[in-house]
Amino acid sequence: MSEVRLDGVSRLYDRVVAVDNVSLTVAEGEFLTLLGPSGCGKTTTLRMVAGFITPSGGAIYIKGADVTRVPANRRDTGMVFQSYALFPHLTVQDNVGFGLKMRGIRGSEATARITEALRLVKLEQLAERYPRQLSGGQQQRVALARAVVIRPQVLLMDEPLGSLDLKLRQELQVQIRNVQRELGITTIYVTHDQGEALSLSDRVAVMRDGRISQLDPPDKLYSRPASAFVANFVGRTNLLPVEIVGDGDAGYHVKSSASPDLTFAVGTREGDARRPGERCLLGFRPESTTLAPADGNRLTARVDDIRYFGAVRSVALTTALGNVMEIDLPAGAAAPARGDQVTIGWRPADCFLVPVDD
Amino acid sequence: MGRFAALRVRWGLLALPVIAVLLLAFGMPIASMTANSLFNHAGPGRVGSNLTLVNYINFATDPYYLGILVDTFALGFVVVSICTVLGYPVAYFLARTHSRWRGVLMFLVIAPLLVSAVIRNLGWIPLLGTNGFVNWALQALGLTDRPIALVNNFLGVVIGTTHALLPFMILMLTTVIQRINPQIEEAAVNLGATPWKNFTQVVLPLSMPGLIGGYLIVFTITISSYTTPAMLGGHRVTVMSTFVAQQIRFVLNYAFGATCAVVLMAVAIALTVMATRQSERGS
Ligand SMILES: Nc1ncnc2c1ncn2[C@@H]1O[C@H](COP(=O)(O)OP(=O)(O)OP(=O)(O)O)[C@@H](O)[C@H]1O
Ligand SMILES: [Mg+2]
Repeated sequence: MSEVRLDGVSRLYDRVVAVDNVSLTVAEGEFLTLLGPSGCGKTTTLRMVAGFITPSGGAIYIKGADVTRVPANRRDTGMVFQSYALFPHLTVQDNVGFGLKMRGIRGSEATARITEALRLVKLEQLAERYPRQLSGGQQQRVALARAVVIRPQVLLMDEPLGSLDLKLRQELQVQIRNVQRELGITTIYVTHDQGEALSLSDRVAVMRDGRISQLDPPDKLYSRPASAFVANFVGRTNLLPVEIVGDGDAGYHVKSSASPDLTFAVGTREGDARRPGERCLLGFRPESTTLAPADGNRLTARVDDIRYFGAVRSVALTTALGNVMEIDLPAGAAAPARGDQVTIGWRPADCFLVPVDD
Repeated sequence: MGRFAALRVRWGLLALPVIAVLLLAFGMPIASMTANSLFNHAGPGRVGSNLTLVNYINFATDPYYLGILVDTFALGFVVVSICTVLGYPVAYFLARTHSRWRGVLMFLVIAPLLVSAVIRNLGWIPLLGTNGFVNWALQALGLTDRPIALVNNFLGVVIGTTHALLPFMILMLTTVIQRINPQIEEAAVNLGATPWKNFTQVVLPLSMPGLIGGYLIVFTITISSYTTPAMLGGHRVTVMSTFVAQQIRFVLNYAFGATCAVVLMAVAIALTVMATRQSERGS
């Protein structure tokens, strides 16, 4: 049985549609992330699951029960806020114990569960402290312990690492994932950081303007984005306007819209069949591109700029078609110089087609 | 001395005139009052020259005087309690609302502060009289069949003082409640707290600084207020301030009047210190 199901859920504010007919299912123990740019409705969606916002339409089910009209305090969700939202007047252990107290769990059972939750987030030593005596990362770990100690049906996190610096964020990502796995707790996580979404999640729902653009496992989302929006939002992408020429067993043959004698092979067939003559965008990732390829797709380009990032060199190019592109070369490989004419290439299996729209 | 320390001292000098004026304006009367209270009464309008504690002993041993002190405190306590109960919901609303009427409501809340005490009380007298609006309304609503005495008694003073001081309580509480992150309340609700539990376990404890601050202001102003007890209490309500005025202006016993004033002040200071300690321990 699915743990959480949203069925055509919408939310309107005055005339703004914050969430527009969202349907999704989160499986038991699954880590699902809502990813999207600012204002796309992630927080609104999450808060409707928590019960802080009533949907304007649609229904929400937790463990099969319709909770759409159930007040937040009886929904059995555990929420972690970006602002930590710890109780400043309570010690760490009393913060963690708050939900247990509300459920009438006291005495040795409460103590045991608080200790266990603090052990999970590695904060046993700080049980007696007050929130103001903790660092931001520690506070968020307390918040995580406080949310999971009640063993909620679903754990909800709204940009929990949003106010922490990069290093700490990465540490806590690992910790969140470990706690989530160890408890097998169904989780909905909100972030606008695509790296975080890809590395933590079992599946990612990319949202845009209140709707789900694509809902897929991270590897599929990255290698087979369904739209130009997703391709650009999740990682970097080079896009070329193309037209379908032929449709073979190994994939499609396409030609450049700008220069019809340039043809490319696309080794994938995702989604609906595309007809010859159909216009679409050919996409490939900077890191799956090579210089002077022996075979595969090729394109000549002029080097505009080179930036060094340690592991890779990022090369900005203007292609013979006039597009600006970006490719990553291993830092150890021979680097071209600015102004050089080069041939770039990518394998048919490493590219994808997305619709022209938006 | 470092350059910055020197600079700070020089800036400090700028504060000297203000400190001097404050000392003169506040310190001198208190000093002279305290001095007067320590000498004997030497006939109407005259303070004797014998250093004595007899005024304090008189005050402390006479049930009549102690009764006035108790009444004053009772007034303070009742007014603070009513202000808290009436003010808290309003303050909570003002702190949390996004309504565009917030500004208007805020103005209505502080409006009583814009009117002088005399005018405010003159306004209350006809409203609270036997044939006044309040009694008319109570009878019209069937809450009473005979007019209730609402003025020229303790109740009248309570009504007038509460009206005057409610704004302080509301402002104090609003400021503090505004500083409570609304997500903390959401966290409580999310963890299963009913609205009542959220209020008693989270919001109320976090409002303590505002409650203590509001209590301090309202209580100390109430126990030292003169105009409202004098105007709305008729001659039937005697509190410390009206009693001090009576001693000094009519009985002409300066020494004993001063004694009562010092007692009132000492108690007010003691309460302030206690409340401040309490709020420091809380935070
Ligand atoms: N209380 C509200 N009143 C009116 N409009 C609102 C309200 N809350 C959200 N919105 C609007 O709904 C849309 C979605 O907001 P939401 O907070 O869900 O976005 P988000 O994806 O969480 O963005 P962010 O990444 O910035 O947190 C936005 O256009 C926002 O302006
Ligand atoms: Mg948000």
